[in-house]
Order: sequence, then structure tokens, then C-alpha cells
Amino acid sequence: MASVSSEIFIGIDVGSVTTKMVVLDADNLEMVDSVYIRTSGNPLISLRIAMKRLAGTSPRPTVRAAATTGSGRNLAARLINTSIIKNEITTHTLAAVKTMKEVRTILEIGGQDSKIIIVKDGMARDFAMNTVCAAGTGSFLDQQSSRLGIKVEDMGEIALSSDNPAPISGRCTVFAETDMIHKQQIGIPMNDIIAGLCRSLVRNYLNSVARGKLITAPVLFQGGVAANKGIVREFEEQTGHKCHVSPYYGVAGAYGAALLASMVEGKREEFRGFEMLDGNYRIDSFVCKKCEERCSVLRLYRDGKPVSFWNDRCGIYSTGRSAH
Amino acid sequence: MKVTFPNLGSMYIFCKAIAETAGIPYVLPRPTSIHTREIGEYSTNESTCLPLKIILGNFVEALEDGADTIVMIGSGPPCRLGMYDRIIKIVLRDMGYDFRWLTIPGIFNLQAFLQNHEEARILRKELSPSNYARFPVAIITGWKKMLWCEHLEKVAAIMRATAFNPDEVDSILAKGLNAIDTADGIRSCASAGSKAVEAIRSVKKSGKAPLKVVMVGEVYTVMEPCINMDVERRLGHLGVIVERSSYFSMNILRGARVSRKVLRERKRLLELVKGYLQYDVGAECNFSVAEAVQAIKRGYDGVVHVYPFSCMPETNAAAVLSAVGNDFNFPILPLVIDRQDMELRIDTMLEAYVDIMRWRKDGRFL
Amino acid sequence: MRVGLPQELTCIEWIDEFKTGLSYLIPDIEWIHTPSVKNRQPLFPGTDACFPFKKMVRTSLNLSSRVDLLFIPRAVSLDGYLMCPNFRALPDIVSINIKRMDKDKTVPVISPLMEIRNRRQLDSLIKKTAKELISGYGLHGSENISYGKDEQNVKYQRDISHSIALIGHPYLLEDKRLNNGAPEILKNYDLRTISSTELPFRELNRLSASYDFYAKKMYWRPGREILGAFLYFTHIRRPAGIIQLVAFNCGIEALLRIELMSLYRQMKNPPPYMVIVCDEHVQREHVVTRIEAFLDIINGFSIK
Repeated sequence: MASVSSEIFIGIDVGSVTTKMVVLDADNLEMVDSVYIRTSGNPLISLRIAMKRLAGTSPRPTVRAAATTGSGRNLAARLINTSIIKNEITTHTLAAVKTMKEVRTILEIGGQDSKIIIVKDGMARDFAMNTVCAAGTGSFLDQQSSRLGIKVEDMGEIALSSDNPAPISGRCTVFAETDMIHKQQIGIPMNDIIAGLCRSLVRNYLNSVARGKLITAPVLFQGGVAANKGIVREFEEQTGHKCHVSPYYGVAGAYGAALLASMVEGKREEFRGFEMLDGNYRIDSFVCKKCEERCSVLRLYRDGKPVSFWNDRCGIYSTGRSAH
Repeated sequence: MKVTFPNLGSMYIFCKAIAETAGIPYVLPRPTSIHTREIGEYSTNESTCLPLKIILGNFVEALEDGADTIVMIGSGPPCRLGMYDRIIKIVLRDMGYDFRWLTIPGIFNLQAFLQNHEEARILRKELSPSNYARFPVAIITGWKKMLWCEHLEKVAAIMRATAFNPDEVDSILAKGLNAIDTADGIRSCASAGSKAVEAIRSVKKSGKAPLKVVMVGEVYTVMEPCINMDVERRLGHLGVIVERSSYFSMNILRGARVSRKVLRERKRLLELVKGYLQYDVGAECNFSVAEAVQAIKRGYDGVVHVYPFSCMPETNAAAVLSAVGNDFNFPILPLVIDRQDMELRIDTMLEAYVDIMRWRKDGRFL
Repeated sequence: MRVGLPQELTCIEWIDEFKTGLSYLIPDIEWIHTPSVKNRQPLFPGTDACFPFKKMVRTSLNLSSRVDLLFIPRAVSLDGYLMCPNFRALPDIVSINIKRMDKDKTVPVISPLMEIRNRRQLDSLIKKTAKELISGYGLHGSENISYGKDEQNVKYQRDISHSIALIGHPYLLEDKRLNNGAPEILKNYDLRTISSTELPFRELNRLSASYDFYAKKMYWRPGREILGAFLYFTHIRRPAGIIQLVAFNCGIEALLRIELMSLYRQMKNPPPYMVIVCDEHVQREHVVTRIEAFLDIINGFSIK
């Protein structure tokens, strides 16, 4: 990390596939650094990598406030000790409005989540998220690219070289796969198949995620999949609007969280993220048998001692009412 | 004879009170769990609606627990609810269970009467005159308990959103419902109820102004927390008062078509949707839209529309509500419920929705 | 005058006769059923509704740019039995979405209420609708007030023992865009088919009535049709095999499938029976594979 000002705001987005961190200069709110790490199922490790990078600069910066977002937001907040926890829809909106003031529609496609956010006067007015299925999300492309034996990063370029996308069904990845294999077998060129995959992802997104929402310009595209030019082209074709790709597309959620951290007034908790580097952290779970709910309660250990509990519906552990 | 009935929110208190007071042996359905749902999913198919799967699972569990007589509340066309008992009977028989069946008709007509007569013929032999004699009192007791439960739940919905510690409200509510459930007779039920209401009202307040939403949608989904993923409680913890479009007692009154006031109210609601729907689509579809329009006009902060995946009337309601939201420039949150594994997603959606409502109301969300 | 009536709806017998009757009374009407391939409306706010319903809405929206009037009957009950709730909402969902698509230029949607028990009721509905169209849209009526349609001759195949019976919603059986070409694929194998639409509803209704239980009768017309056809092909005249076409997410068929499977399991030596789910994501190859495998079963394919 080259030059980090002495005081910073940080935003951390712990997603299902990747963990993102954005560092803002506390004085002018300029982004001074951003990190993008594969979570690979263990947010503890990826958070630690992020903290290591942050601590590696000298002098070690003072964190004025930190915020967390993403599906692992509660865990991350516990680890770095902050109470600023926000859902990714709101943080994505903050980032998008900061990037493009007049934005009206935000398209966001991430690893396992995708959403559409309708913005009016700089505020989210409406949103929709994908349902349980992964068909309209980035993991769809991930799976198919490994099936085809190409890098997911290259898919966009390859797709752009096709003028004739092959029709591929895309409701579920299994269907898409059989369909894709069939198309390969009958000899359809690779670039047409990949362009077809992009088309099917976008069609799926518009039909299942964005359904019923009126897409109005300007449109801003965020999330990891925004790197794929084939998808961008498909969006423009299918919606008829110019589709702007956010310069911070990969870290938009974390960026929004960092902006949020800068907005919160009043007393803030002391940032304890650096302690992660020294301590030995571990998570396990147990099934509570105190009532018929049978919640599986999660427990965080630091140096062998349980320090935090969550995921209990009655709050008997998380609020510390039980003597454990 | 051991009677059982479907699980539907706090309806079990009503059914239990009737069975107990009339002296009829009964088996309480187990609380709806993932296991319940899996039983239902296993013996149906992907396009079957969730309530059917869950009721089926409830019955299987109750039959396993020793029940031999199933009492089901009937319903009429055109939606699938009216076919539930026919299909559930087929599935249970195919699974090899032996049971007797009684449908309490949802609509009173000659055929429903004949069916009831036929079904009850064997059952009647097993009931003693004392069962019959106690029946009127039993129904009144059950009804009173029901009303108290609903009143308590309504108060809890308000207090949860304004309490300093919402968990406290939850635990008082659970204790209160239990006290009403175990109360013996109408008078002690009333005292248990009012005591619980008192206790909930006196919890420490947060001082934050709550938001107010109405939860509309398919009856079963609106009323049963196990199905709607506990939306009411989750929103309550985020500082939102949730008003339901359906309560059990209200549904009985609506279905029975005896109360003039209820009928007039229904008619008035239908007027509100004339611009969108010109004909009754069936079940709660038109009312879901109507209640949403009414809430928007009355200045509520939001509308949450819950319905099970593939529900025919509510799917249409969702399409209409999306247009309503557009026309009024008002965000309506649709929650299509199908599987259990979406808890995190529900939380994210609800939190974001609360942010939007705060934004609209105060121009800020922090 | 160009009047749009979605292709899928014309597959429903009563609606087709409605259309024929109107054509007799108002010769001016030029019916348009399918949208042009070019110039399609970009988006239809999809719902979770069943596949045919989505298709009907989409067809209607795409038709709206080419016609002066959309004719979408509100089929509440036919032959005295109910249609599913979606048909009650169809005209409203279409008009709401037309308004959303284009606020200035909206095509009027005519949606006569169909609660039809018999021919006579349809005739009077046709006359009433024709009158409305003539006075409301300046159409010229025909001098010929009465019209007659040849009694539909049900052509029973003499022997169906080598045919494949197809059962399902009429629109699913007849519209190629909905059934992924399943009947056609069968024809390619030189197989004769007999579909439930070729059987008179009266017969199907009589058969399904044997499973009614007081108030718990199958109250949907499509339900009675499909159940009746299933009973017909398993009890009365036996084909080589039965294929049921099911629309993805169809509420009626979701329940009916459970009932039919249960009936099928109880039968002794029934004809081979298969369910094919139709929706926009199923590709033709999938259907071909299934049908081939099914035909192998029928032909008793085995390693010799």
C-alpha cells in the first residue's frame, strides 16, 4: 500500500465468494486503497489478509470508523468491533450514488447474489433480489467457464467476438450445462456458445430478478460480473439503455460501507481489527437444546476462549443472559 | 378417537380449547419444522403450494403421534385451497395411514352439509351426550381464547417495534400465550390475557419513532410464522410495526358471512381495486391489492406482500401490486416463500426495505 | 378492423367458437393471433405464474402494437365448471401492463365475461358482444343475424391400441410454442396420436364425476377434462401409451399429478404413462430423449 493518510475510514464487504475492503482518506473521502480477496468459505482468513495489508503500511493508520456489509457482515463486525453494520443493498446504493449522482437504476451481479435497485433523488426507492436460485448470478458463469475450460475473466472478450449467440436455456445451471454440451456436440463455435451464456444470464436476470421493475437511464452496473463486456453488451441490447460500468464495480459494496462509516455521527467503538493478527481465532457451532427451536448457535473463540455468540433466535447467548 | 388439526399460528389454542372443554381426546400437531416441510415436499411435486406441503407434513406427524381423526377447515373454489382435503386424503392413504376425516365446511351449502353428515356419521357414535352438551361452551371458550391471543399478538407487534429490548417483548408474548392456553375457563383466560397485555405495555421503550407496515398476502402465509420466515418478528426488531391483513378470527367471520360489518368492509375494499382488477380473481388476491392500496392512502410506510411460490391468486396479485407500486411511487416488498434456506436473504431484504422506508420518511436512514 | 386474440386462447374450444360466432356477425373483423417476429416488445414483467399464462400475457402485449383492439375473454367458467384463477385475471393483467408499456397510446381490451353452461348461453353472449363492438367501435354488422356451425363430428379412431394418447390442457396440446413440439415429434416416429381434445367433454365429465365426493368435486373444468381423459384411456379404450403434458407451475396440474399418480399406482397392468413438463427452458432435445425412451418402453425394448 503506497500512501495511506494517517486517519482512514474502512468498509468491509464479506460476500459468499469474495471479501472486499475499501480504505478512504478520512479528510477528503478519496479512495486510497481497495482489496479483493477470495473468501473460499473462510471469512476469518480473508479478513486477516485484509488486516495484514492494512497494518503493513507505516505508520500504521488510525481507523476513525469501520463498517461491514455483505452476507458475513455480522461476523466481520464482531471481529473488528464495530456497530456499523449495513445490508449490501443500501451500501451498493450509497456507492452508486457517490459514483454517479444522477443514477436511476443500479444493476448488481455478484457471486451468488444479484439485485436491482431503483434510485430516485439519490435514494433507493425500490429493489429486488434474486430468489434462491443461482441462475441470474455470477456463479452461473463461473461454473460454465470451468466446464468449457476457459478463464471466467476471458469470457467477456470471447463473447464480444460473436455476432450470433447460440440460444441456451438458463433457468438452472444443470439445464444450461446439458444444453451447452449439446450445442458443442453439434459443432457450434465456442464464442457463440459463450455469447449465448451471457445472453441467457442477462435474460434470466431481467426475468427473475428485475421483473416488474421499470429500468430507466442512467443505468450503473456494479458487482464482479460487470467486468464481463459480453454481459454489458447484452444488457444494453436487451434493455435499450446505455449501461455504465462503475469504476469501483468489484468493491462497490465495501466502498458504500466505507462511505457509511464516514457518515455515522456520535461515539464510535474502538477499532480492534488489528488484534486479529495476533490472536488465534476459531469458530464452531452447537445446537442449543433449551427450547424446541433448536437453533444452531455459532461461537467465536479467541485464543481458545469463547468471546462471542450469535445466531440464537432468543438471544440468550448473544446478549449474555446465560452463563454459557 | 383422537382428533388432530392443522398448525396455523396460534390457532392451536383455539382448537385445543374446544377439544379440551368438550372432553374430546386430541393430539396437538408438532410445531412446524424443517422435517414437517420435508415430509410434504417428498410426497408432492415442485409446483404444489407450500401450505399444502406443510399441512400434509403436520398431519403425518400427528398421525405418527397417535391421532386417528383429522379435522380440516375446508374452503371453496377457485383456488387450490378448496382441493386440499381431497389431495391430502389421497396422499395419506397412499402412505398407508388409516384415519378418519372431517371437513368443517368453509362455505355453507347443501353439498357441504351432506358431506359433513356423511363424514360425521361414524364419529358421532363415539361422542357421548356429555361431549355434545359441553360443545357450545367449548366453542365460546375457544373463541374467547383466540381473541385474547390475537389481541396480545397485536399489542406485541406494536411494542416490539418501540421497545428498548424487543427480545423482552418476545418472551413476555410467549409466556402470555402459554398462560392463555393453559387458562381454565373464560374468566381465568381473560385475566391471563389482560395481565400479559399489561406486562407487554409496560416494557421499557426506546423512544424511537416506529415505522408502520401492513403485511398482505395469502392467508396461511400471513398467519403462520413458520412459513413466512417470522417476518413479523424480524421487522419488529428493526423497529417496524406490522399489521396483518388476516387474523384467524377475522377469517372465520369472513368465511361464515354472518357479520354485516365484515361484509360491508370487504365490499368497500373491493371498490379500491376497481382500477386494477375488474373481477374477483379468487382467494385473497383482490383483497391483498385492496389492503395495499388502502395502506398507501392511509399513509403507512410500507407494504409487505407474502405468498407461497406458485400460489395462483397471489401471483396475480403480485403482478398487480408491482403496477400499484409504480403508480403511487411506493415501494412494495414482495416475499415469495418456498424454501427454508433463505433466512439470510430475508434479513438483507427486510433491512434494506427498512432503510428505504426510513429514507422516504425522514430523508435519512441512520 | 384488426382484432387481436392470443393464439393460446383460440385452443380453448369455447373461445374458438366465440370467435367464429363473432366473425359471422361482424365480417369486418380481421383476427390476428400471433405477433410478428420482428418488432417485438422488449420486456414483459414476468411473474411466477405458469408458463402458458406468461406466454398468453406476452403474446397479448406483443399483439397490441399490431391491432386496433384486443379481444381477451374472461373465462370464468365453461361447461358450468370453473377455469383457474389466472383466467379471471388475464384481461386485467394484460391491460395493466399495456398501460405500463405505453402511457399515451393504449389499445382497448375487450373482455366479455364467460360464464358458460351451454350453447345457448354462448350464443347470447356472442350477440351481446357483437352489439357492443358494433356500437362502440363503429363496426358494420352482418345482415345475417343467425349463424350455424356444423356440429363438431368427433372422429373416433377405430383402433387406438397402437396410438399414443396425449392428455393435458388444450392450449398445451395444440400450441407448438407451448409444448416444445412433443406431438410433432411423435408424428415423426410415424405414430398416431389421440389427444384429449378429440374426446367430447360430456364423456370426460361423466368419467371424472365418479371421483366426486359431495362438495369435494373437482371444480375446475381443465381438471375434469384431464382426469376424465386419464380415466378414459386407462379404463375405456386402451392406447399404447399415455403422455401427459404438464405446464410448469400450473396449479391445477400440480394437484392433479398427485391424484393421477395415485390412481395409476393402484391399477393392474395399466398402459405406460409419462409426464412431460413444458416450459420455456426445456429444449426440444430433452423432449426427444424422453419420448424415445418412452417408446422403447412401449415396444418392450430389451437386450435379447
